[in-house]
Amino acid sequence: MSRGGGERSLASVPPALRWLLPAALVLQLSWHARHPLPAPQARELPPPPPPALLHLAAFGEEPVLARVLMLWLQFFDNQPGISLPFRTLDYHRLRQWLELILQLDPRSHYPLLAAIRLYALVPDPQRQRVMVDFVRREFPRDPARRWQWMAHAVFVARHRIGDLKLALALARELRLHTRPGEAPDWARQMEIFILADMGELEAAKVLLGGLLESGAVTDPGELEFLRHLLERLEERGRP
Amino acid sequence: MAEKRPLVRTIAAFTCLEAARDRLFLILLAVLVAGLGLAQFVGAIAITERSALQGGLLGAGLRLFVVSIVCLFVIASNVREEQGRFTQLLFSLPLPRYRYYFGKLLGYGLVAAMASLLAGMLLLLHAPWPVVLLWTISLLCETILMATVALACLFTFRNILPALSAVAAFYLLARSIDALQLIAHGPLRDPGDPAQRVMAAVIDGLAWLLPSLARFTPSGWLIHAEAGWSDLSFVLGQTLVYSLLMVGVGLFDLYRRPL
Repeated sequence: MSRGGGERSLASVPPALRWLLPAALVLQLSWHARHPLPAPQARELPPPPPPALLHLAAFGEEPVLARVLMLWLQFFDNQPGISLPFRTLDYHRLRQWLELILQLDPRSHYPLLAAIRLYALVPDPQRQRVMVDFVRREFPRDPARRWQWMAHAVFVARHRIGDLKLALALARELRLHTRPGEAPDWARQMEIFILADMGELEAAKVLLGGLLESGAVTDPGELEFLRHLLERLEERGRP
Repeated sequence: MAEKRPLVRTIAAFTCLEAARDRLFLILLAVLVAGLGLAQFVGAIAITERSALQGGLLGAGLRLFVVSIVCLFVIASNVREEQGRFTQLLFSLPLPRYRYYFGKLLGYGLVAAMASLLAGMLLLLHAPWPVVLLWTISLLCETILMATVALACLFTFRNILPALSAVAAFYLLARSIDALQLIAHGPLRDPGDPAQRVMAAVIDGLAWLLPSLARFTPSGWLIHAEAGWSDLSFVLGQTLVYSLLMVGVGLFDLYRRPL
């Protein structure tokens, strides 16, 4: 109610109206007290809309929309009043959303990071595989930019899922899709270490020897480390 | 009594006429046609749940538009009358001010009813009529409630910009207060943080004073074709209670306004 100057006195307000106002306020308060908040209900992740619709809704600001959607997706497990564990999320639908967001802004690292560093933390190998597969499919589209997520996928496959064959396949794809200089040597050499872990010593030796002979490694410290590794593999391979 | 009715009706009729002269219904029709085209376009690119998508999008958009345009009209029309000294002329006559108020409110109610009805008619293309009927009644209640809020804000602030800002803030807050309350008391809350405790108390306090507009006119009714008269009872009750409060606030300021 206004408190500015030049107002008429309270006596100008009819008595009935002076009673109506507090009575209506009491009525509103009692209405609120009689209608408690509805219990929070967990919502399922909805299916993503068609990409064309999102491009239209972005009004030319696809990178902005991609990030807004990513924030929405990231906090979907924290709905008003409840917190959902990742294992209750539909990971196939989640993957569709991540693909769509990455399609909106292919230069964004956000969906790949969220997939492998956030959603792949779920203690469920099936769900972890969905996220690893997402990164694996998206990596070849821009290997120079996305190698780090592929390297992380190798780590998840090797140490979280415990699937050495999958880790090896991922490490091999990481090496084959990147050229020297596009990704650091340690990432391109992951295949050798996984082969060694798998007991595939001959394959690891061939790969390591080829790498040393190719001249791709020029750093003296790194060369020394790899030569030492090759010697250790040869020692392990002797009867 | 026989003399009172015509004045209220006359003011209401002039309010409707003013809406027509302001091209309000023409704008509404243009938006409905655009909405229809947009719904067809969205329907053409949807893979599945076509009608639900069209109904939901149209419903959410029309709800926001109808409430916004009616509030804008309420504020603009009253400010124009104020600037044209029409209100002063009317108040100088030996007539109780509440008749002017109820005449205006009846007029805005009729404008809201026509706008809601037009929106509902368009939605008949994408949702079953019983659901659309409930949705339309709910939209009418929401619009009338917001018209009383706009009148109260206008009589308080007496200027377009502050009144419009206050109405917009009120609407956004009233539509999100339930979610804000759930978040404030949800698992993310740190009970040891005094700032969060204060914020939760402020949000709780606001919830007591605001209508829960999140439970009005949900698009979910149209999308899932699920709504019953029991869903409408909260809407009708809250509209009655809160409109009474806003009418009280509006009349209080109107009676204190100098000539």
